Amino acid sequence: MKRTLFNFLFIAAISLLVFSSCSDDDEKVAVRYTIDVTVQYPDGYTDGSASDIEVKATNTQTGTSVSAKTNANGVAQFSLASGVYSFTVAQETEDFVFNGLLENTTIAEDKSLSITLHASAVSGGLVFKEIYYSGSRVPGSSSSSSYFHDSFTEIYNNSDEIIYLDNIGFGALDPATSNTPSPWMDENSYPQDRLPLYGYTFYFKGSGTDYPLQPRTSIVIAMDGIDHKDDPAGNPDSPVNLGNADWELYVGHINDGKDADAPGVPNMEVLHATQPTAFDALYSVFGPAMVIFSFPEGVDPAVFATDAANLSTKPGGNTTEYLMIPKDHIIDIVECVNHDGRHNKRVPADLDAGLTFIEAGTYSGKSVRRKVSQIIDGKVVYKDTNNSTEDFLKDQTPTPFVHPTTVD
Amino acid sequence: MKFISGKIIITGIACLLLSVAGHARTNDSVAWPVDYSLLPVRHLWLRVENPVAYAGIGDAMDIRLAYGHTSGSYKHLSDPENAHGGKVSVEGFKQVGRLHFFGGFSYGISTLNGQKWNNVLMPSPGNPYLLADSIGGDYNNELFDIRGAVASAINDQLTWGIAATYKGGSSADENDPRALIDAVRYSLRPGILYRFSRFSLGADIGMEGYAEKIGMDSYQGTSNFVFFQFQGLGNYFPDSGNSHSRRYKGKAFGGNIQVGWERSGMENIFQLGYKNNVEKSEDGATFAPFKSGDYKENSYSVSDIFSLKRNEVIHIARLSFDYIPTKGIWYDQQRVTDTNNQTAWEVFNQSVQYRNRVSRATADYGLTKEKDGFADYAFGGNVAFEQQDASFLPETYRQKYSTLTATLRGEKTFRLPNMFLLGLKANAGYRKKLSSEADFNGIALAGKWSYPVFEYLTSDYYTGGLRATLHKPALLGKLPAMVYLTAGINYTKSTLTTANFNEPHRITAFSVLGCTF
Repeated sequence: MKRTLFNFLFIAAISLLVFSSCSDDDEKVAVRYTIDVTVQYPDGYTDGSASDIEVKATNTQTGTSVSAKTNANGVAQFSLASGVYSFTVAQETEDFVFNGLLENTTIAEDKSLSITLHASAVSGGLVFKEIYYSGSRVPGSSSSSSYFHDSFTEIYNNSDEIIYLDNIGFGALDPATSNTPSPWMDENSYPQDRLPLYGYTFYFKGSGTDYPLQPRTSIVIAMDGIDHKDDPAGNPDSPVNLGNADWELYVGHINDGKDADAPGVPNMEVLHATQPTAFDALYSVFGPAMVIFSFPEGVDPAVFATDAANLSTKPGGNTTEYLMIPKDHIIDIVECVNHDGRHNKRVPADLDAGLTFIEAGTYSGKSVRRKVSQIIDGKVVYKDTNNSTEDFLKDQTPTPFVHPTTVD
Repeated sequence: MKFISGKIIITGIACLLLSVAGHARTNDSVAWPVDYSLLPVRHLWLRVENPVAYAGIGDAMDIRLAYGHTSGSYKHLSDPENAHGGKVSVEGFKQVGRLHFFGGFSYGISTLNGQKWNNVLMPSPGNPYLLADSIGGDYNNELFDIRGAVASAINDQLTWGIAATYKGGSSADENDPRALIDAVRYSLRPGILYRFSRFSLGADIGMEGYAEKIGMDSYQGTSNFVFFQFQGLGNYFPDSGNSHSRRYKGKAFGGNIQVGWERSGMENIFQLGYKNNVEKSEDGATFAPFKSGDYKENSYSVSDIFSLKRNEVIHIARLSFDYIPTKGIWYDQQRVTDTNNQTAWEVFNQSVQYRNRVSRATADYGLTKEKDGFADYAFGGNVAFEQQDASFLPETYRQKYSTLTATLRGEKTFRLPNMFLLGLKANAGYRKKLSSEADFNGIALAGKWSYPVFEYLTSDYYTGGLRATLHKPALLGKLPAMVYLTAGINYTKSTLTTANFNEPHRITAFSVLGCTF
């Protein structure tokens, strides 16, 4: 009997050991990986090494970010958990703005990465001061009657000289949203040298000196130039009154009268339309890549837009023709993306190394607004490092026509 | 709210009626039923999981209808502010020839008001991969369970038994983002017992399954909510939008071995146990799922139960030790788009991100003096030590604590005129935090989730309860029954004074109307 008991206990103990040892202890434990990011100035820039420059690593899925500065050899070292990261660099000198971007880099092992900076001159100029694209919610309604007609963009003269708006173009890049990768990228996933515009594209039709924009002042371009709060066709929960907008994106003469023309607000000229039947000049509530651009010297914008050489169909798409703008004619461009993490870039990193978005999401009544860099003699100088991540504030209450009085 | 299948409810009622019919007796010799709650006192093997225990039980049955209400601010962050609900349950034992049957069914509905950070129903208590939103609302829950077992002694030495359980439930919230949750847990446990001389050797193995489906939608289609895919200690992987879905699947396998002996009114059962439990969760579309964490748990237990019967007094002492190491595996994934423009999640790394080690040691002693099938008086005490050590990697977030809880209990039954019996039970206890350590620096929800939960888990508190039960024997037709009515209250008062708690309490009041056959 004792032997039976002993045998039973022995077998039972061995069985328990076997069961417990069957667990998979060979699973690896989460660790941090050493990432060395080497920052290099662009070719031709010989003013020292890229040392003491801040590099920011942002986990594109969680939004958490950490920064490190480059050492004397231009290397910034990070200790990162596994994830998908974007590395951004922004540096401003007296003469240049440097930007670098390495996006959607998978980190699951120790790695050495390299970022070559792009340089752009610090010369001031036209910039987007505020973009309100999210739309607003109609009180007590279902999703089908959410309101998006109150969108606007505000363009600011960030320089200390008069800038004429004549023959300057305005629109948004294709794809309309950042939800999917852009088919316009080349085989190396780099944007091409010409950027496609979707929907309605406009320009300020003038003789060259018709529309001066004074230094440190702005214009507001409204989708519909009405008081959206009080107008019977508006939305009482809209945050904006655009009845005094400087310009309106009227397209009723293109789409058989589907768009209303707000009296008293001048209309911008339609330059091109990929969808002439669209009932309004709507730029996506999920985040458009807004752009203002110029035209080659001496070229009539209307002629430019009808020249087949400046039109292209979408790779893998249908016969719709998109107006293509050369990269070097971009005056300012802002990469607004979807708040839900789908951040496929459409804008070349040398034009905008970052991105911005409305964290509150669609129909939240919020805007993105450029940060104030300085206040000089009561006039605002907005921050412009060609990096929307660094240059813009998210989830702002729209303030058309109003400029902050303090530095952000 | 989705209702539990009517078939399940009808099945339960049918079991009830059959059991009642099976218990009908003639009036020739009335044997009044004894206190049903004393069954585990009289039958020590009912305190282990081996279903052979049912082979030693004679006919008995209990039906009860219960109602309870809970409120108070001393609660886990994911518990409701207050809750109330009702439950009907029936269970009983029946011997047919050499076969001993056990069956049980319960169905309950409840309303949980002000519940936040909790959109799951039945994952394991240690599973860190939970789904939540910060809006919350009022939830309506339905829960049912069906239990069955059969056991039989083949001969004087060998007894076998098999037990099965099926537990299901649903939960619904009418507040955007409104959750609809369906869950089920089931198990099968066969066991054997071999007796020789004064000794007995037992073994049982258990197989369990678990599945849960969670859907969250918004009536306002343009709403944008944040969905927290928790990873442990308040850390989370975010998702946003106006809808979200998750699916859990789990399997558990384990077993126990028992060594028993009995002699001269003494009985002892020594048990070793092991259980392996794995739960996996996935979010989003089934054709392009996002892996939201695998939970793996090993549970080791050793316990000894000793019983001594002298005259009508039964002493029962129990020592137990449990060690439960767990880990959570996280999958690092990224969206990829194939040539057909279909988006899917691609895993590029997986690692153990969450670890927890739970140790528990318990000592319990109870004395019961029986008289005419009821506890004339009883008293006892319990001391429980618990230690948990959880960490989140690679950020090295940490939560470690140990507590000691001591409880005393007492019971007395008074015989009143007209065959009424009044039973009074009281218990009082105190929990003391022995040690605590937390490092949540870097967790976005540290102040909103991690610290409030940590404070709740490590709080010192006083606890006590009172319960009064009035029994009355009655003949229901020809069926002798013991009808009872219970009213009780449990109260816990914490000594916490923090930014999140100000000496909070939690109170539960309940009443039960039952009948034992």
